[in-house]
Amino acid sequence: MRSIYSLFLLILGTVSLCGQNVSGEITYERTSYWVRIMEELPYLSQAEKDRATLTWGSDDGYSSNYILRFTANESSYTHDETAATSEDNGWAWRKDDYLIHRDLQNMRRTDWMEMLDRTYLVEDDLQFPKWKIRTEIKDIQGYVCMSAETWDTIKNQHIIAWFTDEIPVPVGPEMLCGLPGAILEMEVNGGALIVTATKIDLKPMPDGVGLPKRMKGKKIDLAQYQDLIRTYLKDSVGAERNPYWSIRY
Amino acid sequence: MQRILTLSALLLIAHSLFGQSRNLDISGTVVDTLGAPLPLSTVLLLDPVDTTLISYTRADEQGRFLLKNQKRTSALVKISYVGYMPRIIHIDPQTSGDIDIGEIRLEEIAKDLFEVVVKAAKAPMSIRGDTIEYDASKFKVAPGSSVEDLLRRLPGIEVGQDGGITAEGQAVTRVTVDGKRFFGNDPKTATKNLPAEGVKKVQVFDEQSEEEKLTGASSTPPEKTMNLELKDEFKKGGFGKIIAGAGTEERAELKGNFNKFNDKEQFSIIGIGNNTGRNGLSWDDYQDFRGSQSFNWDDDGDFGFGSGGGYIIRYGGDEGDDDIGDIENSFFGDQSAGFPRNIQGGLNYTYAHEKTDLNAVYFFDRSQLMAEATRNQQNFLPDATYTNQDISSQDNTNMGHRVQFRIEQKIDSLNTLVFNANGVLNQRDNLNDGTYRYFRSNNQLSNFTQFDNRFQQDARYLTGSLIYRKKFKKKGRSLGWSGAYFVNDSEQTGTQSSINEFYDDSGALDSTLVIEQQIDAVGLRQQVKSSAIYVEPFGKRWYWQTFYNYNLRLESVDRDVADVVQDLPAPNDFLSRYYDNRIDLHRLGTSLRYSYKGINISAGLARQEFQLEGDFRSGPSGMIDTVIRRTFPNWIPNVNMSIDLKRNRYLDGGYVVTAREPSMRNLQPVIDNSNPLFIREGNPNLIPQIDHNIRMSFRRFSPATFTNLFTNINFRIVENAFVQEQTVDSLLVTNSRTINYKGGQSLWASVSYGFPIVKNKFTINLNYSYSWNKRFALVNAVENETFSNGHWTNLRLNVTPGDRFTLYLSGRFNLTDTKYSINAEQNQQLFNQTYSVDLNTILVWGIFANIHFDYDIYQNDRFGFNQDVPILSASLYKVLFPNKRGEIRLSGYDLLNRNLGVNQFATANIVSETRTTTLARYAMLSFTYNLQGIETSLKKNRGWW
Repeated sequence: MRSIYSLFLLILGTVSLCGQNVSGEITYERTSYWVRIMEELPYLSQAEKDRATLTWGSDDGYSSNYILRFTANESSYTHDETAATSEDNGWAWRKDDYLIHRDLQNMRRTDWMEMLDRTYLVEDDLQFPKWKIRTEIKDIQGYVCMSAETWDTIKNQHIIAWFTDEIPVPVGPEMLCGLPGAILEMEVNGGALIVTATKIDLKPMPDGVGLPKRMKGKKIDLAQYQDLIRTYLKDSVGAERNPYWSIRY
Repeated sequence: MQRILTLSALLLIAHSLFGQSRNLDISGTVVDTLGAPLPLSTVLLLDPVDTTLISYTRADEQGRFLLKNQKRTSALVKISYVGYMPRIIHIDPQTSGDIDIGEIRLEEIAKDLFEVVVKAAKAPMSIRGDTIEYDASKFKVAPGSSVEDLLRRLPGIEVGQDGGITAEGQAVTRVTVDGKRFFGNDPKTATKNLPAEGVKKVQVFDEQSEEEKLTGASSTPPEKTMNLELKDEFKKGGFGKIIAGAGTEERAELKGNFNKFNDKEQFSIIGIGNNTGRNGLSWDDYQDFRGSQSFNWDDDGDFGFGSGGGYIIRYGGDEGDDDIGDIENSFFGDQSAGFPRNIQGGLNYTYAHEKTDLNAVYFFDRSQLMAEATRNQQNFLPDATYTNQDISSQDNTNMGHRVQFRIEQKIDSLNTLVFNANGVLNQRDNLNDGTYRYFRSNNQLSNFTQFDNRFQQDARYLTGSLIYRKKFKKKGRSLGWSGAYFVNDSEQTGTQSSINEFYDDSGALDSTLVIEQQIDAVGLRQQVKSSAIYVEPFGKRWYWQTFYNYNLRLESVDRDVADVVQDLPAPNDFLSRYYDNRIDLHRLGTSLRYSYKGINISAGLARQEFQLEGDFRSGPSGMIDTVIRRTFPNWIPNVNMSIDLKRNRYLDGGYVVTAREPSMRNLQPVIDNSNPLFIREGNPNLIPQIDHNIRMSFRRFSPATFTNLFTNINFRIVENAFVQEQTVDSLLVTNSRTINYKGGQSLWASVSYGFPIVKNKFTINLNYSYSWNKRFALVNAVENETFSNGHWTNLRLNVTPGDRFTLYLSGRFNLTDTKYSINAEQNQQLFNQTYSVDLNTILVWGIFANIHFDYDIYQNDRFGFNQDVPILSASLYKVLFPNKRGEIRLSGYDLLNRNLGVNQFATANIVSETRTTTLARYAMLSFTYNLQGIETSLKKNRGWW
């Protein structure tokens, strides 16, 4: 018993020994392409899709910055407030309530997010998505990344993630996690949404990821969240209205 | 406590002991080809069917790894280490015992390949078995290079002097493009001829030939095949449609458009011809025609207070309102009542690549409108009322050619230049004849006029503008400068003929005035303007903005009016006008803005000064006999606010002051009696009218319940209002002069609410608006105060139960209550109602039906004016051809044959209603061919972006 326990400690120790790389901050640029998103809307006619491509196709990427703070035990992903100075000619948009917390030690998820008219706090057990490992490797910000893919069956999204085993923590941007290394880039449905790391700052995080004191919201569990999204997507398509104005793509 | 811990630990052990009988541990050691351990290698356990990740671990410092407690099924163990070829080992566990894979040797990826592809070019590299593929588009070659030039740059590939290719030491004997053979088997054909720009991926395979695949025989040594995967040209496309129709009442229409575009270029052409007035041109057509140039928001160089408070400097001057306009107007221009005949067409070309965005447009527009109108009007004098009845017919033709050119050049990420040039040639031909009859309160004729006016104008317009925008490294700091020049010259010729008979109180002819005038005018208008703006941020929340506008307008007009007496023109010095105007505007403003997390509030103040200078001459080259020099300084405050209240609630508001300078025409101390019944006189003492506008709005949209709420309130106070001071003499001739008078006030408020009763099936929208205003008029030196209250109620029901039936119903009720301080007996209520029904359904044999019914009811009981206009239209259509490309449609417009243009209004001292005869019932058979397919959805008003 004691020996198993010490073995466990030993393993933990090895992880943290090689552990200069297991905490820090990663800044991501999240870019969504509206024309590509529109192309997925089943109720649009070819004429409407062509028109959107013609009008906005060459220039429709909308970018904003996010930051992922992580340690070996937890991660939090939220708006990058250091870039608070507004980009749009001095106009400051309000940023929605959004923080994705992953507790890797107790395997709990907390998604604090504003959608559909209110702020929700989704709390549930953390289950990693089902990942398929692909054959490509590529370099992102000096890190060699391997590729994996998964499917979001609720939003009907095919997600490709690039993770690096040089940062051996199963964390990632948006709601992604569970790969043998930090996810430095993700691509949804062939490029409708691309989130890519622009700055990687590995450093000790002695105080953890630093959650905000107040994360108020209506508490729901994962199943309820999925139900909400599923119903809303169905209604929006029925109403022939782009759903992604009110929820994240 | 301790006991519980021990118990749970025991349970844990028991569980793992029990588990071990079924599950297994997988271990091994990762080493390089020389046997040295590869520490911290990543070890993945994958499902052999679809490579799903089951578990993973890392090797320790000695390269040893252990995957504990795994399911006893076959699996793949994938071991990877940076810079080495990953290895996949298939394991097939026995019924018991653990698996020790032992030493796993990883081979280093050829160093140059790894360093160059992954590290330097940052291209994704894919490793399948022994083959490596990578993204060739990441290797930069000069524009216009061939694939061969690209291949020379790729690691692991060599191109010989003769163009022969070797990959990883072996000759490439076959080159395919997107997996297909490219013009025979010589690999050089493809590599020498294809442009490198089009290639996305280069793959080199040890593949067998097709023949070998089929036969399984391998007679030749293994060949290398190279596949060039071309870039999928997303954004490449083309579409077009043509509609032709012929109808009864000699009606016909033809409309067509065609577009072709790729990621760099857009080309479109459009043409319309009809005599129905139904251009069928919509926002969609405009967007299809203009493409990426549909919205060039940044082309406004008139920098000001920013959102909402911007002062718009119009290009127009005094002499007519024939503004240069925009192409949009041709698409959205309202078809007035009458009988129209239109031809329009244009070409649009855009080239946008990297830092350059270039656009050129040509547009032709010829519109003709013939109409006959009857107007009945009541005019209130302090002590009397008179009425007039006008019957007129017009035939107006307008023809224009327009050329537009725009280039936007990004110099670098911080500096942008936008240049715009527009040229317009315009020709107008107006014909207007008819009669005016004036009656005294006792219904006795006081005046009868028969007139015939003809007017022709040729005008040329040219504008050029340059905008420079600079951003700085310091975020939020920016600078803008703009300069623009506008010139318009025009020639007008016209004749005005009228016979005016005046009758006295007893009904006897008092006098007759015959007017036969010939007018020749030339005008030259020029405008130079320039603006600059600078924005400096303070901290993360505050911005200080300063701007300066300069605007110079020069107008010079020679207007020769001659009286034609027995076919001989004699100059009419009284009506001829010769003048040069110069209007300078300087405006310097500053504002402070708070912008943070959805709260944007700004307050500012500007000082503006108009300088008006007019030289009026007695003849074309005569002496200056009147000079006007006026300077009007004003303070212009501005407050603007926009707050995001969370949960899709927004609050906006503002206070905007605008100063309108008097027009030169109103300042000019000249009497204009070109209409002998309405004589105008200038007033050199005019000062600017100041408008204070206060607005507030709140909107809310709930995406979860699909309800929305909008409320708006606007309040306006006018200072030194421009008011017409009129005197009407005993012969009902009006003398009119603009003066500054105490201003009026107006209020406008509106609330709309929309919500579904059954989600996506049955939706209700309600809107109520209220308006109140107070105006003044001075008639025969008596002040007449007019109050008017307006109520608008709008109810809309959308019934969309399914794909085969939709119904849209709406009802609009408008009540306008007007009260006068004098002639209170004239107080009146206008009551207008509009009902609309739009029904769409599929009948048998795939035939669609649309029925549209509009019913307008106009009511004014005080004047006994009641008019119903019911318009019923219907169409049947069927979609033809594969891909729904064709459509045949039979339409009947105004089946009840009741169409009529109706317009009624009440001002301070006038109540007027006009009826215009308008194209009524006709039927049309039309055919459409659309490359994109015919839209058959019966739903409307879709929110798709």
